[in-house]
Amino acid sequence: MARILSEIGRKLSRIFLGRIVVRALDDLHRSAPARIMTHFHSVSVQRMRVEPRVGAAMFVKWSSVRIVGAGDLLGGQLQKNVKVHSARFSFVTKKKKVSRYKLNISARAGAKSAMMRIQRTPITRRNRINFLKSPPKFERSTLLALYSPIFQEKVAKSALDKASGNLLFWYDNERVKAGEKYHLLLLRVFEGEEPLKWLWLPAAKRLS
Amino acid sequence: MAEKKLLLGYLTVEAKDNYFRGAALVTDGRGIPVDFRYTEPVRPTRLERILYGGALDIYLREEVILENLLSAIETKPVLWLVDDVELIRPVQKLAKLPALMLEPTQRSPLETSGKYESTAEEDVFIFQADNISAPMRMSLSEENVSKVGQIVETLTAAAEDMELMEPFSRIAKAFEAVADSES
Repeated sequence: MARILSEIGRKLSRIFLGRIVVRALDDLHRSAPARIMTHFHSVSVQRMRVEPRVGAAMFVKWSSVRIVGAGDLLGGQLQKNVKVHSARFSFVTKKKKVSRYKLNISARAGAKSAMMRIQRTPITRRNRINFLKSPPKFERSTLLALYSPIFQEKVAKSALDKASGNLLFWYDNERVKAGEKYHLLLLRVFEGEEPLKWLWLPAAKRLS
Repeated sequence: MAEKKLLLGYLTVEAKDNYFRGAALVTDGRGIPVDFRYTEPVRPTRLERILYGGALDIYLREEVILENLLSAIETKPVLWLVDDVELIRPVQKLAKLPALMLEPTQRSPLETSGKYESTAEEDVFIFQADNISAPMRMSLSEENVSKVGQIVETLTAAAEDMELMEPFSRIAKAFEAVADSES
C-alpha cells in the first residue's frame, strides 16, 4: 500500500511539478524478474450451415463417421455436436493403378519377307483375244483365247481357270535363265480327236 | 532384254475390316519376283482410334506401313506402281523414286505401243503399253510429269515381257495365302 501511494505521489509530482525522481535501483527492483504481458484474442469460428449432408464420396469410407444432430444455427453448438471418431481414407489411387498406355503401332507392323510364298503364287495371263484387230485364221479351227507374253521354257506348270478364262502358270526360275517369249493360243478344233488345242507362237510374230 | 536392270516395284496398302496391311513386290522385267515383303495386319485399338482421330488412317498408311515396307525392301526398283492414287505422293517422298498408278481403260487402242496422250485431268495420261491391250490410264505426281516420256518408255519395255498390272493380283493371292496359313 505504501508503495502504491509513493508511486501515485511520484506520478503526480511529475505531472504537476515536472520533477523527475532519479533513484538508484535497489535490490528489490534489481532482483525483480521482467514480466512480459501479452494479450490473447480467441477467435471463435462458427459454421453457418444448418446440417451437414453427405450422400456419398468415392474416395472416403464413411462407415465410422458419426454425425450427431445439427440445429443451433448460430449458437456454436454444432461443432460440439458433431463427433468425428475416426475416418479412414482409402483413396482410389491406392486401389487402382493408373496404367501407362504405350502408343507404338509401328512396332506391330514389321515387314516380313515371304519370297517362297510369292514364288508359289501363280502368274496370271488374261485372255487378250478381244484386243486383236485382225485375229489369225487357222484351218478347221478357230481361236478361242490368246495369252501373252509367256516364257515357254520357264513354265513349270499351268492351269486354265475356266470361270475367269485366265491362264495360271508357274515359272521355274532355276530352269532357264533367259529364253524366248511366246504367245499361247487356245484353238477350238473342228472334226478332230481333241476339241481343244494349245499352240505356241513366238512373240516375235506380232499379232494385232 | 533388260532382265537385270528393269525392276518394277508394286506397292499396296489394304484397309478393311478394322485392320491395315501392306505389301511390296519387286519383279524383274518378266514379272518374276525378286523381293517381296508384307506387313502383319495392324488392328488399331479403340483407344488408338480415339487418340489419333482422323489422322489415324494417314498415319498408319504413310508412317507405319509404307515406311516399314520401303525400308525393308532390299532390291530397289526403277519405279513404284501403286493401286491407290493417295499413295503416289507418300511413296515417292519416302522411296525417292517415281511412283505412279495404272488403271485399265475401255478405250480403243492408240496407234502404237509407247504412244501416250495427256488427258483433261491434271497429271493423268493415257498410254499404250503393248499392241494387244487397251490403253492404260496413268496418274503421276506433278513432279514427274516432265519425266512422263521416260516413264512410258520403261513401262512399254516391261510390257513386252509381262502384264504390267498382273503382279497386284499375285499380291492379293499371297495375302489370302498368308491369312489362310494364320487362321
